Amino acid sequence: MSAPEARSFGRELRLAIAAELSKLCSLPTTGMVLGSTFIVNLLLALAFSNAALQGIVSIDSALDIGLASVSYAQAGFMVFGILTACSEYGGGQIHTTLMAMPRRGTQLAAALLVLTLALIPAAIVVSVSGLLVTQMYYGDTVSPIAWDELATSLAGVTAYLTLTTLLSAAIGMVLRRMLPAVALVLGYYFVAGPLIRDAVPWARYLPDTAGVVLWLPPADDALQPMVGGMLLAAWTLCAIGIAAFVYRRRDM
Amino acid sequence: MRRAISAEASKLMSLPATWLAVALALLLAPAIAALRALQELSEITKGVQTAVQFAIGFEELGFGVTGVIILGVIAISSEYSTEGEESGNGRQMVTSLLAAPSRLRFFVSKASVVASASAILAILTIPVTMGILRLILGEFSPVIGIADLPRLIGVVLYWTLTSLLALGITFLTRHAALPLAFLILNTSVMTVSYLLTRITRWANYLPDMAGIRMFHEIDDAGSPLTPLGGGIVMAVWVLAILSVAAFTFCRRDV
Repeated sequence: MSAPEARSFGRELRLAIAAELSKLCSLPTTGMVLGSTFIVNLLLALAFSNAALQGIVSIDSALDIGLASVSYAQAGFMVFGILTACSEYGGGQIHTTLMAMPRRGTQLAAALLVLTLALIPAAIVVSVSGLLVTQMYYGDTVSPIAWDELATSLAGVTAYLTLTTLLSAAIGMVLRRMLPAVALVLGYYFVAGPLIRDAVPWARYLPDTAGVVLWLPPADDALQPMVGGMLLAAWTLCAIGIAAFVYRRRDM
Repeated sequence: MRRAISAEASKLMSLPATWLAVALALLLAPAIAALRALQELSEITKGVQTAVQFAIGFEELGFGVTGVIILGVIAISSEYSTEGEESGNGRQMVTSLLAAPSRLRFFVSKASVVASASAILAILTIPVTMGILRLILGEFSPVIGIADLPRLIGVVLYWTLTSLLALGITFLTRHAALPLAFLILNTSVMTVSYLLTRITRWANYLPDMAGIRMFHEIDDAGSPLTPLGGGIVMAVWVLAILSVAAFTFCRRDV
């Protein structure tokens, strides 16, 4: 019998990614949360289209109406990110995970990579479905959506949802408990954030307001989409950095 | 019954997430009110407007309800969450029902503890919020007199009823994520319920839209309800959901 060969880093990462992918797919919350987000987003898109047709919500183009529902549907993505991050800690699964993948940095990178891979198609499907509902609702009554505009907006909304979910997941990893993480993230994005946005000028540098310019028509003093996107990416990277630091140091 | 209530109170107070809920309940409304008051003050000194808006303070107290939503959710979800491998993957609910076998009594004591905690939090938060407004706005601050007492009672009722709503829904779902996400989303600045009022007038009869009428009139919702009527509609909703939750809870296997 020969001594076990040391695994190269590349192979270790590949195995870790496969393991994380299998974990994510077998998590019941994945299908449930993403599925209900999809359905709720369809209903909201219908509601927004209806409201805009009656002229009671002031949104101009069909593109913006179709994407307006994402401002609520993003909650589903945030909950998804947090639930996947916290699922490790519910019943002590983290002990098994770290036994199998002792290099915590590699494990974390693999988990986040797999989450990103799942998020990008999910974000595209959710936002496109909202747009389709609006398009079908209006038929030919409004001017058709321009293709280059559509591509920019879709790329923006996908980037926004992915980065925001990764940010939520990083917060979930630090807090390790689903409830405080969900309460903090949703409380910030839906209650405190919009109120701060109206009250202080520096709010445009915060992750929610900086990111929103990626896909919604910017307000007067908002950042350019590119700058806002980069700022959101910086916030996310920063949160992941903190999560990684804490994760590597912590006794589980 | 007294012992059941004190047991529930002790359980609620020993949850770590309770302190998050208490902190949010006590701090969110005053903090947002302070930010808004500073902004209004600068508008007044610039001469853009001459007085603060009528609803200042009350609107913020409407958002502060986030804290008691968390309180109502965790009081129940903590009973159902699976504990670690070391304690045999059990659920606290099993132990609770062993100690207090009457399910209805258990339900009532949970609800009364959550309701009274929310009412106390509301009573504490109102003077803090209004005090901060007075501190920042000085002579421009809205005068709160005896005539505002019904509105203030409305805030306390709104907080209490919302926490009971959260409790009832969590009894049905047995998991925190759904009620928490749904209820916090519906506290946001432009709530789903408000959006629905743009489509049908009936949405004004939804529990949160009706309840908020007790102390705050949303300008363009065109609510047909009086403050008292709003309170009654919300109370009916909460009673209905609590009855369904109690019935389900008493009938089902843990």
